[in-house]
Amino acid sequence: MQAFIQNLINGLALGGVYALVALGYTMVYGILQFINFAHSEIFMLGAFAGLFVAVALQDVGSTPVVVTAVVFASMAACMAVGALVERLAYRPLRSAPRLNVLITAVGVSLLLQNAAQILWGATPRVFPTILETQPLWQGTELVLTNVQLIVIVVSAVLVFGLSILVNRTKLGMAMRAVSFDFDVSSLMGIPTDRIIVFTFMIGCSLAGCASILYGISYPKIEPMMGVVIGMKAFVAAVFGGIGSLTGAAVGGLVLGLSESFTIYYVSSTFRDAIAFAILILVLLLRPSGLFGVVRKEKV
Amino acid sequence: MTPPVLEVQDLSISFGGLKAVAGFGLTLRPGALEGLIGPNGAGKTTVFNLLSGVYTADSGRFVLDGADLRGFSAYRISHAGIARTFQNIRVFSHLTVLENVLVGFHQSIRYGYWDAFLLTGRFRNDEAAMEQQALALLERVGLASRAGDNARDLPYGDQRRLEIARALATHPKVLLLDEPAAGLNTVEKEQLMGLIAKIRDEFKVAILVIEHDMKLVMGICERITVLDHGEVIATGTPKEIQSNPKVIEAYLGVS
Amino acid sequence: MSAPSQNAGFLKQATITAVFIAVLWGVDQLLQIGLNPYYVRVVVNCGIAAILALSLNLINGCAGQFSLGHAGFMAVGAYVSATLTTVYPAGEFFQSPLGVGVAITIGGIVAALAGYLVGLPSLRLKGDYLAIVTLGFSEMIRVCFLNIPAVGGARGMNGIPVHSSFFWVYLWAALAWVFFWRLLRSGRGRAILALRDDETAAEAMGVEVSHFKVVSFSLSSAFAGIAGGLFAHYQGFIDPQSFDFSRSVLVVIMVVLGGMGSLSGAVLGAVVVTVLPESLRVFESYRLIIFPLVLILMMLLRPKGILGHREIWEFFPRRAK
Repeated sequence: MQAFIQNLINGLALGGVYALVALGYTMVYGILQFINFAHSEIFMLGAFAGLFVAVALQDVGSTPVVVTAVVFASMAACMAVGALVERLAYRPLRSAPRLNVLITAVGVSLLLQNAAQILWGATPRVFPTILETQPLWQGTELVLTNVQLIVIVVSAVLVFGLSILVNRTKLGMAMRAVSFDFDVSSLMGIPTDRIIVFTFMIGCSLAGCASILYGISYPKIEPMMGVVIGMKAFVAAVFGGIGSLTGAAVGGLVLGLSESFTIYYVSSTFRDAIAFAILILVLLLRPSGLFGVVRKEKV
Repeated sequence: MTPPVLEVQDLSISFGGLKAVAGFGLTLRPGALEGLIGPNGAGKTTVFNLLSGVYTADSGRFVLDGADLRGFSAYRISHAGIARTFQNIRVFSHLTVLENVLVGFHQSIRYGYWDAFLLTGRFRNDEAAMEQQALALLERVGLASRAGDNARDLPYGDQRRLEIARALATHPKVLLLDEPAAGLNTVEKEQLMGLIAKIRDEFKVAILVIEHDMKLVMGICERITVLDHGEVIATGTPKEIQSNPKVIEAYLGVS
Repeated sequence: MSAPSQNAGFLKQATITAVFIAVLWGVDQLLQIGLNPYYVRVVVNCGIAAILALSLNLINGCAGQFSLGHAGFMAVGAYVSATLTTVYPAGEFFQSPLGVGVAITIGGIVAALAGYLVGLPSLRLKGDYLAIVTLGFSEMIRVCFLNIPAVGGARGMNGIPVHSSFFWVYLWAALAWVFFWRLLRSGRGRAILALRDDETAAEAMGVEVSHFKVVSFSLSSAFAGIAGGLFAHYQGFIDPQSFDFSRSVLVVIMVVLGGMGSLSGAVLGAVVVTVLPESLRVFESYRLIIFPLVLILMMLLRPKGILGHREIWEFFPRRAK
């Protein structure tokens, strides 16, 4: 039983990170209908930005200051890169076929990966301990650490914050309008380009925050780190029904949980396969994901 | 009297509680040319979608030459002998005009993959024969000169005629034409209607046509069915329809 | 419609084939003595890439589906054929060049079966959802090989007999070309192209859309499997990492870069994607940046790919029809 609860906690912590990254995929998809492959590299860049700030602030003793600085630096860096990528690579393709945008996204992803490799080398770096891991509660086979608790709480807060932003604010209303019908909202006077940049920036800032949460839990930073996380996060987004915020959050949690249980009860080498197995099953039963909307073609 | 080629009884479908078509019935005799009219949103295209298998009716039946086709998928209905055109033109835009018609001959293909791969005599004979028939169909609708062009490069009216040629290539017993004259000018409309009447005679096919232009429908159709709010409100000869108070009410919205 | 090959009799076809094989063999011999082995390797890799691109072009370019899992089928072909020749060699035969050819063919057939299974979801899923599921399948295939100790697990397989050469690779590439060329110029191919343009209309014209979707997946996978087999028996070594997501993406890039639905475009894309990173070697590590930049610029400036939907010779209108 304790092992079960332990896996539940591990799964929630991992799932929280997946959910935050998945939200970025799903928001961009909701508004522009393409999979932003570069999102996983934004995550990676966020981790590096956090790493550099953490190293620079090594002598500042106070933990809260350092953690806050690291998180905000990472989020800011991600927002900046996200806005830049949108402006330079995606905006000129607004009316191009979706496949072209998809390929461009793959190109941007490769570009960022390779640039990071040239700049910082391929060898993994250790993320500095900005937060001492301490057990908060300990059973015979069960540990809940402060890091895990923070990861779970912060992801939950961000997910709820985002849902308030999208559902309760004027900006959120504009975002929903653009995602519902791009052309009409632009006719209604919504500055669609600006809304799209905002969407990118919000999604990217979540990825930045997620990268720090990931960094303090699994302190290994390298240019290729985004690939696997990104792939799983976007599986989570599709699983939940891409375009749906609830779907992305739920998808992330389900993925994190299934992974942690697979590692414990099956084998760690199957951890990557299980995500896809679940995804395929869900999509075969519900072709547009758990919370996705079916769009019927008019004949 | 000859037995009907198509007999539709009590066909109904609803979308999310909304009855789009309810209790639709119709009888087509071989070689008939009939019209299906009704105000916008009356469910005319939905009837075509039901008869061509795009949607499956919730209840009712439609019998083509003795076989009930309800529940059949679209390609099997096409094989059975109901062909259609589309209101919003659906030509294969990246294929040539000739290839579009050749796709219509799909079910006549007798050769297999290996014949195509090894270029057997069977393959070459079949292809040559189909090509000839397709060209003849294009000739019939007046598009033979454009056989090699991409379908999307054709003007609007030509694309509509291409759809008719393509539908004829499936050797239909019943041809459903969904607003074939939409977007054409008066002269083109007259020509098209003449063509439709000729096709009926030459190909011995029963035709059901949706059309908004009353004058045209009244001019060429022998019988007309009027649909309003998903239900048949009148059936009869053009004369009977013209004087039917229910039809006038549906069109003019007299309360 | 009237490519010269269609009028050719069997005798003529056989002659052309024989001459082609002879020329190929001759070039192979010349390459072995005359050319720097490094260049030979690049040329052979182009051939393997061409088979991959030609086959994926059927799904992504012609049938209008979207597969992101081509590496998975390649892996099936590579592992099945390499298992036959290396792990459980069924006698001496599978060590010989001919036996390797047979093993590669078997790999292709098994990959076709896998393609059939992966094609089934395409009946229900569209666009990005289908892309993710194909990606998922190929990742699962990779993880499976990762977990089978008999084929080396994560360490991969060593000591695979090196019997695929320029000759074999280009023979298969030519076969793939002829196969897809003739398929697309037959009624079956027209049905596949029709379903790309308009599924509803294709179905209304009597095309059994589900059949052709699954068929395109199977045929495409068969050749991906063969490319995998050739790859395995050219490198002499394979591991699950060779068939990861980035390989699938690379093949998609070849098809899109060359021009969707164009056979010569697929080959051109394969050559560009294979040669470009090599020719950029002088720029050292910066080639890793230049390549994605070229890709992005390409999408911005020539979004339909180098050739668009057309074949390369359609740009040189020399003979009137």
